[in-house]
Amino acid sequence: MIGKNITLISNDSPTVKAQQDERIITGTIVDAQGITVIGANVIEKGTTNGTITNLDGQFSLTIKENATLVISYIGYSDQELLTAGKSIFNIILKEDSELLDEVVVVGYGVQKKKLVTGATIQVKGDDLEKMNSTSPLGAMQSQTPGVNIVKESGQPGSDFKISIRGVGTTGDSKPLYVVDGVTVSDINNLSPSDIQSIDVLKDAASAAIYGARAANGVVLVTTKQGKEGKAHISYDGYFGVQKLAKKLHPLMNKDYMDMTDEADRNNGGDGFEWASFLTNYDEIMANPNGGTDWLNALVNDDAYIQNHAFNVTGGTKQSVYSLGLSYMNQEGLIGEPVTPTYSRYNLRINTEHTIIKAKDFDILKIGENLNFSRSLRNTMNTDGKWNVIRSAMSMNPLLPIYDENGDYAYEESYEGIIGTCGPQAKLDYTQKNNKSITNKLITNFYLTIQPIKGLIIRSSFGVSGTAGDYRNYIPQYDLGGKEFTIDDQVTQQNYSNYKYIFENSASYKFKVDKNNFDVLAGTSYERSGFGSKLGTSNYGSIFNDFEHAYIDNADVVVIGNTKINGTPYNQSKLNSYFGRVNYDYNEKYMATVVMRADASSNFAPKNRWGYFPSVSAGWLMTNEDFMQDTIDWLDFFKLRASWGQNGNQNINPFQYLSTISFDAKYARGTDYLTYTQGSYPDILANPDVTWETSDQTDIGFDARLLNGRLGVTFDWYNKKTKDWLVQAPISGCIGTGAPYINGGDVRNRGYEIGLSWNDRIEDFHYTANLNVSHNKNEVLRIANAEGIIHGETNLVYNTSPEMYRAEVGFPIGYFWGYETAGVFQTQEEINNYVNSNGEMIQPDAQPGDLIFKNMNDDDQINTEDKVMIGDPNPDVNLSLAFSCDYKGFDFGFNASGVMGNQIFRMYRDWSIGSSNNYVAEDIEGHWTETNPSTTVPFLVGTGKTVQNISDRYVEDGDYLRMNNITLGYDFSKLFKSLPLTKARIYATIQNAFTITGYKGLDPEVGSGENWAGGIDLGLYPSPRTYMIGISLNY
Amino acid sequence: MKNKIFALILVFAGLQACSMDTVNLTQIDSATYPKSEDDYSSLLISVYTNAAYTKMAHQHPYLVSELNSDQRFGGGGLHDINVEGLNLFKLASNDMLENCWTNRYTGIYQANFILEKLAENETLDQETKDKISGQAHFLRAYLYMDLARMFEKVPLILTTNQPDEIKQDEPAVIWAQIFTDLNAAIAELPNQTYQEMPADNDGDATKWAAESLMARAYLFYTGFYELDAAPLNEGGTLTKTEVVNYVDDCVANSGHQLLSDFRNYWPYSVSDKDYGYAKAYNLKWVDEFHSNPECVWATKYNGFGDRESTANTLLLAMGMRDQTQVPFGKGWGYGTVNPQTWENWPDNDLRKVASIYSVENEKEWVSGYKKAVSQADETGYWQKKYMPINMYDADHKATGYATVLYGAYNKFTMNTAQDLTLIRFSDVLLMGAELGSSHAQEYLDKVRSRVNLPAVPVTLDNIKTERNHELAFEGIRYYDLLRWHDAEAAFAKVKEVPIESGGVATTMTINYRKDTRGFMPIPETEISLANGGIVQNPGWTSAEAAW
Repeated sequence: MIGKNITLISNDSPTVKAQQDERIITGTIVDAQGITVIGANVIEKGTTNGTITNLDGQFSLTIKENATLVISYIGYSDQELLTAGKSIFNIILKEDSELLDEVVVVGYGVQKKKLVTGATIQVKGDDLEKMNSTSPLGAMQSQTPGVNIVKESGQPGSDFKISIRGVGTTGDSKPLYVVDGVTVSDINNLSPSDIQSIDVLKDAASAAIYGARAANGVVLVTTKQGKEGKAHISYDGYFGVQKLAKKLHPLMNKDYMDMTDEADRNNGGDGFEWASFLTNYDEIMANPNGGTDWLNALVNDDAYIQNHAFNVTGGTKQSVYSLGLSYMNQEGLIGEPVTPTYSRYNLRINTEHTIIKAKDFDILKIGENLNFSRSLRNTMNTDGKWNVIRSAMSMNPLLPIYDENGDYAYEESYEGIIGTCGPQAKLDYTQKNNKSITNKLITNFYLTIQPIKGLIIRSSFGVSGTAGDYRNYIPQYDLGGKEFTIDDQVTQQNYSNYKYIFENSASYKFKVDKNNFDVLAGTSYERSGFGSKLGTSNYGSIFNDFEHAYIDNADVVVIGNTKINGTPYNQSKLNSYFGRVNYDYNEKYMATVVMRADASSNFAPKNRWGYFPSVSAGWLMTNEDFMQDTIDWLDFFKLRASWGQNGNQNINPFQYLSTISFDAKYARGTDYLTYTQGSYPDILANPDVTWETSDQTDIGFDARLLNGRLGVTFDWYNKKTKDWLVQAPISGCIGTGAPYINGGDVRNRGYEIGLSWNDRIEDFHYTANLNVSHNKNEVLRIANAEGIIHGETNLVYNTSPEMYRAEVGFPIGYFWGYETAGVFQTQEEINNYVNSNGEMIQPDAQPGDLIFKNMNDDDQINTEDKVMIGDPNPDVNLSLAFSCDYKGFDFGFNASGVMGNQIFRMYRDWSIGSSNNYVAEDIEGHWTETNPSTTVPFLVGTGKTVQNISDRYVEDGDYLRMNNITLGYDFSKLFKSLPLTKARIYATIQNAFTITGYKGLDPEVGSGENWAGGIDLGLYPSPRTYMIGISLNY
Repeated sequence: MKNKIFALILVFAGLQACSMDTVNLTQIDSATYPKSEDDYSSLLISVYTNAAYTKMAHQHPYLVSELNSDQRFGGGGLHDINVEGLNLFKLASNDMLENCWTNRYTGIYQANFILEKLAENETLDQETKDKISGQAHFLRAYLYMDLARMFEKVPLILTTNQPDEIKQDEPAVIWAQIFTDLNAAIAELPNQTYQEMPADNDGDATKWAAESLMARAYLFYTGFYELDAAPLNEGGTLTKTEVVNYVDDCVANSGHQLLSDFRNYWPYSVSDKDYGYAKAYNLKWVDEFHSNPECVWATKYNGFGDRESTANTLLLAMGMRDQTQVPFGKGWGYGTVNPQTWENWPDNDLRKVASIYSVENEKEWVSGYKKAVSQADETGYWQKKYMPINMYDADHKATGYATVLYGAYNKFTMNTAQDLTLIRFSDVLLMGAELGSSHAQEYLDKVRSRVNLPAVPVTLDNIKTERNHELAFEGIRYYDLLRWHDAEAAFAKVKEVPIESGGVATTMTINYRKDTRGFMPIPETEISLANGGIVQNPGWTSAEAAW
């Protein structure tokens, strides 16, 4: 006998029953990773004879000749083995989830994946975790076809722009996030190591159960749940350093002066008398390639990143638990001397307890999920045209960073060619001393009652909340006429905001012959906006540093200096009823019907209710008898189709009234040191505003071929957003803010293909995935007079005209400007550039100027000639993953990219401000008389047409980025005596390379608070990160 | 069992059957606001704020008209195309005056809101209602007048409901509304002399301001469009006699009067210790604490805050580049004075030196002027009515007077506090003379005798000269030229005037384009948002208009 045998055979007659045809078999049971399984059941089929595996995963059992063994273990599928002729067994258990009986989360329940009739996608926690991303969204980036995820900035802790199946609105296009049944506004604070799975509900039918807020899709996050069995403890940690992935080249001293002179001369000037106003002229000329590279000076090379995560999972038959604790810390690559940082602590406690148990089902269960995170951030401004990176690119190189005293250098006067101060100085003074702390709690408490088998009543009370504080200190500084503060300033803010969600549902599963029904009815009541913000700022700290930057240390109240504000959060209520019927006939024909009704307090009483229906159907063809012929190559084929409607209510409340602002200030009367406050209605009321509806049809199939080696998923969809909630711009003559209107229709149409291949060649196991999705976005209707929603002005430079818009017949946020047709080479060409009447079109042009296409045959270039010059929405999202393992080694890579989109790149005002520097990449090969370029115009200082918004600033944004390459080795295979089931050490490169033709710092442009996207005004780039990590499992 | 389950579900469903209404805890809305007199006063303050808004200095109607005029050039830095555009009648950008446009309309919307709410109000007494309504009418007229003089045909909007379409109106319709509103304001505003009014109300529109603005509106409309009478709403007309009566009433009953010394009106006279010129004439600034009966209406500023709120950025914009002197402080150098203005101004008029700082004039007793390298359109002449004014502080450093006297922030970009006079009493007198009041000669004499000039007969030519000298640099000149149809002739003289730009000698020629008729370009954004309801003003789509 090997090991300690525990038999389940009754003790009374062990030997009496021993007959001649009985024999002893032995064996070892391991899981797919080769880890021995303790406590697995081994039973002789049809008897009570059985045993369980010991600590080494081994068993020994006396059985009858030719008996069949049944191996079972929780979480794994049952196996049956014939014993004839064999006495030693090496059994590998297969995880349940690897089978088609795998379940997916569908909202208020789970469903067998093979029966799902909508378009959903599930990403496993392990797959998220192995990306070593600090945010779940970052990890999803290359694993979810049809979901476009773009980083807003490379600054640590930055948010993501996410859209599912195209952008359907100029408003908020974020999906609805549901974490363990609690709706939250974002999931950036979650640690990927806490996540068991993320399910994305893409089509309307899947999302319909969340009707009111599902118009942009739904992302369901399930955190790691407890599992019956011994405690599994794991530790994962990594450490990395970050490097700049790409450099740009601002011009240095001599080049800068030459280019500035050249621009001035092209503008009719004589160039600049540098010697006359540069006090250190000789010094500068002595070092023509020297000067300050402001951009490079911002780089904090080898900025570190680290992450540590502990997880414990286990439980008994009565209670299961899962605990997680993790910490991450990342330094920003750009921002020296400020160096943004982000660190985060995550704590998770999930438990479930069975209180009352019937013979074969649980009558009463209670459970709880708790996710807490605390993040600390120190940030700098990376948005808009005043962002630090752009300032650094356009700052002249002549000014040193520091003066001879080691202080920040600046030019006292606003005068002359030299600007005021370098970006470093301003950064140091204004953006160094800040810290925001955010505490987030997502928790729920639930109970399920199963009075009769199959009928489950579930009641859940969830709370999500955010509380945090922010402090900022700006010292007193003086950097010349434009950049100064009067006194040092202390800012302190606190806030807390909570909501609760109370949901009750009843589901009943039953069977009538081969008809399977799963019926759900439920209600949901959600209230948000419990909490308030309080903020103060004041001048004159007695300590003059950040550490002591609290209001008590700057408590002299001076009217006008002391700012205090305290506001509650917008309260809102959402009251919903929903129902769902899942039906299948013998797991062959499936249908689902969903209805949800919601009332939202965001609308006027008469417009509150919205109704969102959906239907879907599926046909599992491989379960048909006539498909038996194909079974040797086609394992599984399911055809499905769905239609449904979802809603969106995401606007500020009270848009149906004119609200009053009180921030007007006027120096009425005779007081010299204060003002009188004034009030005004700040928005035009729209009493009719109501739900936005998204209407979507989806047709697709899922297939598995060649013995499960090849998986194919295909979806075609047509999604129409109707009565789109927009704040369409109104004429300035209206005199107040534009109201939200149900202002238009947008269509997103496209398809998604997912291919996966996995195979094993002896010990070499490999998997490859390819996801391709295509989307076409088009605005169908906009309800204002011109059919246009205008983008911002002053966006890409001061006084810049509108350059993106939403317009009927075009994609949302397309770039609007002039098309160019090269560069004028000679005056003769200018003279010959005429319309059909022979009138000159650009009479004021000079050789070297851009040729703008004249679209209407008049005699000038004006806004009527502006057309679509680019589309920020990608046509195709692409991702590619490969992984393999061999005898403890593992290797994998993961790449993603987009195709068919454009980026608008402008790192400089191309006009006002001759002291601005150029980036070499911007002017490479520009036109001069001796170098007559046909594409890049001449340099010119002021007020010329090069500044026009044109396709000169538009570039293709296609890229493929190698997000992650990892090589690892599991030492537990080598040192079997270790008490660890896994001891893996790995090395990773993130953002290893990017294949792109884009000239800017980073083609992943998600910056800006506008709805256009794809506008690069100096983006905080994603770093390249080199990491080493370790994973230990016990 | 099943019944129990049903009951349970009903209980859960019932738990949430509560009200869907929420309370707006931070914002008051138009359903309940305004109610009290204070609410209405607060709403009025907001309209004044818009009228006074100077953050975009070059888009403030005062500075627009000054830069448009033949007395001043663009100035500023070498790349300030926005001021240069106004000076040269060129399109510096498509939305060159967008801020000005929306700002005026924002004020108009707010005035409309007040008037609509007041019409529904049943709790306030008539006297209070009149006081509020009178100011709202005055402000709406004032704001429309800015628009009508700058852009001519603008959409006339008199309600807070969103109109079905945005459409330009004819001048006669717009001006009829202006006259009607001013008539209402005159009738409603209290008949209180300047001396009886509380100092705390300084800046509020008064009956006298309304009467004066009526004269200005009437003169512009009838002059520019060459008509005899002005239209009123619903078909009435406003006769010249009525306008003259208003002016006479203002002169006789307002309590407004001329200061004894013209120069004491302007803040440079505050530096009587440090500024040789002020010292030599023993000047004493009248200050702005309800002590200036010559000011009929001004928008108010103080050195209290940053540029976005209550400081007067126009001053900063017009300060000389890169100079810190006593008394003249530094700024962005907008609106240098045309040397011809100085040359054509007789020396015997004390207002010449009282209005223009010639950097070479020894009688200023100011030294240290240095032509700034980056100054555009440098002429060596600066107007001194609206200029940042410095004094010596306790440490003998040249500092803005608002800082030294009142404790405003010690930063030249923040402490410009001078009020912008929009109607000065001498303008009222001269308008009365021009309109043919029975006191015309007396009015003209008053203005001239104050500056020790002999009487001249009341002829249009004499009045033109008088207005040019008395009201120079006060935002009056350009519209005077337009209404007298003198613009073409005046600008024809601005040919090859020697100036320096960036330290390099060059010349200034202003090509006033007759096809514009003197009006400015409508912002392109507004044209496109009006969906064909607004067309660009003539002369602003041509190649000559392009920068």
